[in-house]
Amino acid sequence: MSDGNDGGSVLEADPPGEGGRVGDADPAVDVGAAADEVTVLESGTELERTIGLRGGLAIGIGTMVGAGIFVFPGLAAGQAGPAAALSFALGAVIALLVALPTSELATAMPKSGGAYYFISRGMGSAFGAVVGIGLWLGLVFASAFYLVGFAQYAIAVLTELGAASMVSDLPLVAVLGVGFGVVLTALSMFGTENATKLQNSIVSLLLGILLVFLVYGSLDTLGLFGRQTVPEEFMPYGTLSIFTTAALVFTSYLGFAQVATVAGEITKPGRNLPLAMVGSVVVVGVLYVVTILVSTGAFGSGRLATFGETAIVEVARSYLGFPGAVAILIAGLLATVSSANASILSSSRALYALSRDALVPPQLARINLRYGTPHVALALVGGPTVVLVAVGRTEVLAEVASFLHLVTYGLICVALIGLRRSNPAWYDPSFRVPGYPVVPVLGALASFSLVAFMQPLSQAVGVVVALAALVWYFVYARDVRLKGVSADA
Amino acid sequence: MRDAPDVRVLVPVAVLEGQVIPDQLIHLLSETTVVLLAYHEIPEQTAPEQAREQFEPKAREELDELVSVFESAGATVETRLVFTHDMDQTTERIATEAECDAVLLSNPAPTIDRVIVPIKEAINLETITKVAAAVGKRGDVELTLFHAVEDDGAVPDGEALLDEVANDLAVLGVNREHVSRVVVVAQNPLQALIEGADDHDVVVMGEEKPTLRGRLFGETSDRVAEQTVAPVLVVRRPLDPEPDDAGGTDDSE
Repeated sequence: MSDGNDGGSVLEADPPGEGGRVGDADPAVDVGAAADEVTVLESGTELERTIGLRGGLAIGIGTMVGAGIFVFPGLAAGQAGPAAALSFALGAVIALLVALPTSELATAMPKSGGAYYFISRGMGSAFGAVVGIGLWLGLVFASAFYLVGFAQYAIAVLTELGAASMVSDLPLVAVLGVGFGVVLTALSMFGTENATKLQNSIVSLLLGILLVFLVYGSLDTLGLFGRQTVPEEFMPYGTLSIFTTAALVFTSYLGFAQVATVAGEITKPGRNLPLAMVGSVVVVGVLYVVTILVSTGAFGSGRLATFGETAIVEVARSYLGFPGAVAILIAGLLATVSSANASILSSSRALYALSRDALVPPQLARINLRYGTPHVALALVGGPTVVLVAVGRTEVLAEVASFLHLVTYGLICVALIGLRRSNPAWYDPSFRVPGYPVVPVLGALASFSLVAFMQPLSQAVGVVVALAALVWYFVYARDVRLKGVSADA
Repeated sequence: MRDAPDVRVLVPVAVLEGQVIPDQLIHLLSETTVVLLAYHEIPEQTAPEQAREQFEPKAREELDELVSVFESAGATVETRLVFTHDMDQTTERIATEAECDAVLLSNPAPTIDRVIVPIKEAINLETITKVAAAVGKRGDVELTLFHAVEDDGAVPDGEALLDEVANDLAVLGVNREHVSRVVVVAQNPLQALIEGADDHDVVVMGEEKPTLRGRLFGETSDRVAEQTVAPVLVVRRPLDPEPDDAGGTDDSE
């Protein structure tokens, strides 16, 4: 059924500007013209856009909020003390510097695939392959990280119920994480209905719980209810720790670009894409900073660090007692699940985009005839994810995920600058980055330099993945030329 | 054939799921312009582009076949092919874009002899009459105009209303002998309609304003389609002047 037009195997180079129609970045793949509620392809076939602003925000926030609040506070405070709040703020600034260029590219190319699509069109197929494969595996690492977080919360629930001792001789994190990873992948494959609605309600519920907790916690920390905050030096581990911690916790901001992977399904893309991306970064950034301040105010960073991944539960207990702990435990389960689920889905979209351009075999994009879902791609996400859950350590999983994303984010900024300079005829974004070229230049520099502050192991794994992607490209897909891309001409 | 106003009917078909539009129904719509909406609803986990790549050729093939069936029955046919996560949104959008007067909710229809047309004063009488006329001017179909009132005192008004509609239908070329009128007194108009529709094969009814009740329990037309198991032609209400939530119409920000 797939013909040359779909697979796009070997396409001749076609410099931009020559016969390139406006609004049609890549005629060889028939990506069509985007309108507010529909994409109309050249064949006349229409693809409905069904995700509104609220849905876009839910994807962004739902992906991000799992990590920063429910996994990192203890770890981050252990590394940087109360100054971890600055690490989170720094992460938010970097995320914003990237989110703005991503928004511009996404409004110019509101198609499935997100970052992969922009970079392959802006910088050519070699970079595209590295980014696409990096995005796939980056999301695999991220999903594994969220699942480990989920397992920690499940264990905390068992402990709360007094049941943990009965099963203490099992490697619980691995068992629960892998088990739930398999369940999530299976649910995706079976095309579970109303998953998006459920995700939206989960995110609303989460924000509700967090708002109550953080507002109460902030007021209490400020002494309104007579609480004595634990006195502590703001930067007990020095300035450098702020940066290394920022590199660690940057995983908490890996959600905004996921909005771009469903850019082809967002209504009114020119308006909703930038709002969803920038909005979700701002919302979670504020939540993270307040969470750290409230948490370190409750316990002091040294003690907080001993609570590990589920530190926030103890914080909630200290402010709101047992009901607070229960609410946060539930919120933690929901948040980590929603993050893992969103990441698994975007990762399969990244694989699809690669396969559409023939950078990976077309079988990867096959849709299951019975369930209507891309089962091969989902398996290629879920499989490696559960393997990583079984063997991985939280920090390394998080950092490798961040590494692969940061490389992508840096390249997004570079691609934006490249496209602005070459200005091909089809490039007509409806949102333009304010403060060009400062914002994308800073975004690229910040993304690449954050990588330098990671643990050597994470850097090594990240470099190996990127090199492997490059090797794959030269072995499998060297001949792929994407139409309308000057770098390939 | 006299010069009747063009009636445009949206016919959604789940094109890859083997949904069949009954021959009788195709026959019934032969005097109209049929906007065939071939759709494929895909799970949220799948990108519409991805489904389209795999299924477009097959969907086109099925659609072409349907077109030729409708055309050989005498209808004018326009087509749309849509891959979507949300069928309701797609139907609404296409119906508006293609300026359709009515949307078909298909149900099995072994024979079509009698068509019931519930009339309410409030809703969209002109278009309902127009659609009913397009269906009823075929000689082999009987139209029943149906009106429910809450007490006996309102019966004369109801009869006057139906007379008016019957006259309009005659003007549009429907044989008076094929039009009958029923006014019933009932506390629950919807239940009365469902009972009245019992010995009819097709319902032609006006779309109501979306209400909270409609959101919770399904729109009236959907419930009629469900309970009567008959095809329903839902006549769209005139478009409200659209409140623009975006503020500006161009997405400059």
